[in-house]
Amino acid sequence: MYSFTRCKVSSCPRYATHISEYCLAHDPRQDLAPTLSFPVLDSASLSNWNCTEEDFSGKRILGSLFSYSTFHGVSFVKTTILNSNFSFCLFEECVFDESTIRYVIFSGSTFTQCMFMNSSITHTNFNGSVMRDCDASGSDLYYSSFAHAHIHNTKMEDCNVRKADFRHTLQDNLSFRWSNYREVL
Amino acid sequence: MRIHQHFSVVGFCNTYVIGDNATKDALLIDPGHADIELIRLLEQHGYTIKAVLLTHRHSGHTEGLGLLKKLYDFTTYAYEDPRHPIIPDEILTIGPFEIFSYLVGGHSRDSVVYKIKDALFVGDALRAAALGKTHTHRLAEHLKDELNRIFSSLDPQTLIFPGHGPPSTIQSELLFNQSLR
Repeated sequence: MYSFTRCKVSSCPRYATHISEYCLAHDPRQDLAPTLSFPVLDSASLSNWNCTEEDFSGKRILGSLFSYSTFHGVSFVKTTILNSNFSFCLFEECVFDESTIRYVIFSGSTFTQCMFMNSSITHTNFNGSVMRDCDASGSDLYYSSFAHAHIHNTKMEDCNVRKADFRHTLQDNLSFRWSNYREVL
Repeated sequence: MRIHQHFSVVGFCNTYVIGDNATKDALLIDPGHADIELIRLLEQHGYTIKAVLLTHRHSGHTEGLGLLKKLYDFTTYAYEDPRHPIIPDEILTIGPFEIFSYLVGGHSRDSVVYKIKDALFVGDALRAAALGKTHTHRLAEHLKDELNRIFSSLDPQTLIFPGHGPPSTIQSELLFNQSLR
């Protein structure tokens, strides 16, 4: 499980990584390669990380912290993400197809042109997130929460949305075709 | 410290297992249902359950206690429990865990919130982006005030683990939970 350890530089509001006493901004030479080479990322702390075209497909991400990070063109295909914190992140052109995501916090994050197709995304917090041109069709969204989310040009077709929370969402061209929308909270 | 979630299909309640990596001591919060998955989770990690903490005593959060009591030896703590009462605003030390308790009421008279390191276990007092259910508006106002009091005293990144639904953070609740305003 990640911990919230502040960067050693006084007045720096960011969190230290799991391999250093400093955040990535104050110690940019940190070698992330060993962490990223393992099939399991456990208790990693990589807040404010700028991640481009990384491949997490098939990996397991457990109890890790990535808040305030940006992910561009990153593959999470068939990735298992459990109990991790991606709050206030930016995801652009990322693919989460066939992934298993449980008890994860994405609140306040922005997703642009991201794919979540045929995934199991349960008990996951998307509150206050922004989704543009995304597709989560064929996914199980059981007990996931999208309260106060702004969702534009997005498909959630043929999804299980039982007990999912869409209260106070701003929906613009959001399709729930073939989904059990009557069973949302 | 590692936090594991277990979802109980009985009562749709989240049960939390908090394990210490070094000692393998563990706490359980709200065992709504003890099934093979929960037992396997405990056994796979080699945890010894030191205590069970109840956020409140509604059956959906306690029904697993009977079976767990048959399998393991532990102490159960709850607010106003005649044998092992939780005392609000005091630190309870169990093995390697320091637990601070807040009495919030609202959802039920005995509703408490536990703080363990950077995590709050709120039971039914709060769900992500929603206040817990209460019988009256006055109780809802009371619960809102209590939660705001707790949140204002803690780091906004503090994690929130509710009895139902996904986890959250104080920051997320302050921004996206209308019922706290």
